[in-house]
Amino acid sequence: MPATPPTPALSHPWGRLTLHPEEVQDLGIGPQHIRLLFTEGEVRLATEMADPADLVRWSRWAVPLEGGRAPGQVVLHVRPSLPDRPLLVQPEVPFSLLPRAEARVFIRVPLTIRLEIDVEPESARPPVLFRSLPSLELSDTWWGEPDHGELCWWLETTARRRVSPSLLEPHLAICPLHMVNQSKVDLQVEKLCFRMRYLSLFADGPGFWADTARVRYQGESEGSRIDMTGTPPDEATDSRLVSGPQVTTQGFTARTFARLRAFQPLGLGGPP
Amino acid sequence: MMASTASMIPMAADSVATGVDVLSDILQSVDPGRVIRGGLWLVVGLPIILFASRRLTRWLTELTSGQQGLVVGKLLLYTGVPLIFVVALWELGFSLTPLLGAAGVLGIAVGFASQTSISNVISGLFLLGERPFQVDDIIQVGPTVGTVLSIDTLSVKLRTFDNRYIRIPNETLVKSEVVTITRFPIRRLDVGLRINYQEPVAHVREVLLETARANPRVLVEPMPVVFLDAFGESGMDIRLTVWTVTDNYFTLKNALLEEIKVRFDAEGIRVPVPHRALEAGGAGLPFPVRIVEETPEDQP
Repeated sequence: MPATPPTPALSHPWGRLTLHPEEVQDLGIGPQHIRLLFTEGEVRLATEMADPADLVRWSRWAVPLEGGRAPGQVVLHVRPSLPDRPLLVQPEVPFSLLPRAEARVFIRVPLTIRLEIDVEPESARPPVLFRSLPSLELSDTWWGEPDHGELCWWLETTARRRVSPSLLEPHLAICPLHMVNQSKVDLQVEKLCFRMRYLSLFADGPGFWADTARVRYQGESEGSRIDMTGTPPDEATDSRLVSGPQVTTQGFTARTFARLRAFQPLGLGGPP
Repeated sequence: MMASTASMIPMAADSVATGVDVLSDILQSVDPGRVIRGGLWLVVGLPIILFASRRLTRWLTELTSGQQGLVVGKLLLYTGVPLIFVVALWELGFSLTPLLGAAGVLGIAVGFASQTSISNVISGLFLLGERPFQVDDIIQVGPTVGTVLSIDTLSVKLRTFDNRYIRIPNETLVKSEVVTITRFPIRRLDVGLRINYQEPVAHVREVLLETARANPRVLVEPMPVVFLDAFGESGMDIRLTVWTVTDNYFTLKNALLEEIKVRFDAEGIRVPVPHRALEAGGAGLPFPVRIVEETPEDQP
C-alpha cells in the first residue's frame, strides 16, 4: 500500500482534532455520530448511527505515557477514505448502452471514517489507526458464485449523468464512472461491481471526488477492462489528493456487470 | 559342596575364554573401514533425515497447509530412518537376506495384528489427497459437530462447541458422510415459522422481508425469499430463507429470530398454539349432551 500523503487542510468535521482532559467532543459525519473523550490517560469513543442520544457505550484506548505520566492532550486525525470492500451498485432506474455507446455517470459513495491517534505529534511517525467506521451503514452482499466470490457493500444509486456543487457532501465521495460498450450486444446496466481499492480520493471544498474509472465492456464471457485515470475529474475545480489507491495497477480485466436476476437460475433463493 | 564349587570355577573360566575367542574372531573378521562407514551412515544419515523432515514440513506448511506438511515430513522420517539402519547394517557386513526374510514374516504378523491401524493410515492419506476439509473447518460427522483441530496419521481430532475433545478414526471418516459446514464462503439460513390461518400471507411475507432487509448481515443478493411451505394442523407453515457470510451464520440466526418476534408482536401477527376442532354436528351450535336416567330394569 502506498504511503498516505500528508492530510491536506480538510473542512470540518475532517482533519486534526486536539482532545484536552475531561473534554467531550461530538462529531457528526453523515448519519454517523461520534463522541470522543480524553480522560485518565485513555481515549474513549462512542458511536451511534441512529440517535445521538444513545451515545453511551464507550470503547477505550490507553495512550502512550509521556515521561511516565499521561499526556496533557491527545491529537487525533479524522481522515476520510473510500470503503474497504467493492461496492455492488444498483442504479435506481436500470439503463442500457447500445453497441459502441459510451456513458459517464456519477455515483455517490459513503466514505469510511478513519480515527487515528498522533502518538508523537512532534515526530515524523505516522498516526496510528485505532478505529474505522462507516459514515453510512451499508448492507452486505455477494458478488460471484455460491462457492467463490467477493463480499461487497450494497449501494443503490441514482447514477446521475450530471453533478452540481450542491451534491458535494462531507460524508460522500462522487465517483465518476465512464462506461464504454465495446461488445456487439446491448449492455444492460442493472447491477455493477465497483472496486474501490484502485481509486484515489480528492478533497474539493466541502466534499470529495474519486478519480474516473473507465470500464470497457467486451462481452459477457470476456469481462470488462477497467482503468483508473489517477487524476481528479474536470468537475473537481479545487481538488487536493487525500489518499492514493490502496492497490496500484495499470488496469485489469474483471467481471463487472450482471443482471439482477442472474442468481435465480442457480436456485440460490429457491427451496433445497 | 566344596568339590562341586571348585569344579565349576574352571568351567566358568573355560566359557569366558571361549567367549573372548569368539569375540576376537569376530573383531578380526570385521573390516574397520566398513565399521567406520556403517557408523558414518548412522552418525551423519540420521541427523540429515531428521533435518530434511523438519525442513520439508516447514516448507510444505508455508506452501500448502500445515497438515500436509506434517504428514509428508513424517512419511520421510518413517521411511528414511529404517532405510539408514538397513544401509548401516549392510555396511557392517550383516547379510540382509535373512533380515529381510524375517522382516517379511514379521510384517505379515504385524499386518494381521494391526489391520485397523493400517486402514486408518491409508484412510488418512485418502483424506489428505481428497481434502474434504482442512484444519479449522467446522464439520459434522453423524451427530457430532466440531472444529477440526488436526488431521493425524490415524485419526482426526475435533473440538465441539461445548468444548469436548473428540477423536474420530480416519477409517470412520472415509466410510461416513461428512458435512463440511464452513467449506463455502456464504450460507443460506432457513427460518421456519407457523402462523394463524387468519393472518394474510402477503402481509406476513412483506413483514418478514422487511425484517430481513433491515439486518445488514443479511446479504442483499442472493435475495431473501419467503415460501408458504404447507398447511399444517393448526396453522400455515412459512419459511424465510436468507443468505449470509458463513462466519455470521449463528450471530444472524439469533438476531433474526429475535427481530422477527419483535416485528410480529408490533404487527399483531399471531403464532398459533396447537389446537384441535371437534365437530358437534352443526357449526356454532353447543355440543349436545343427553342425560339418560337408568331404571331398575336396565341394571344387570
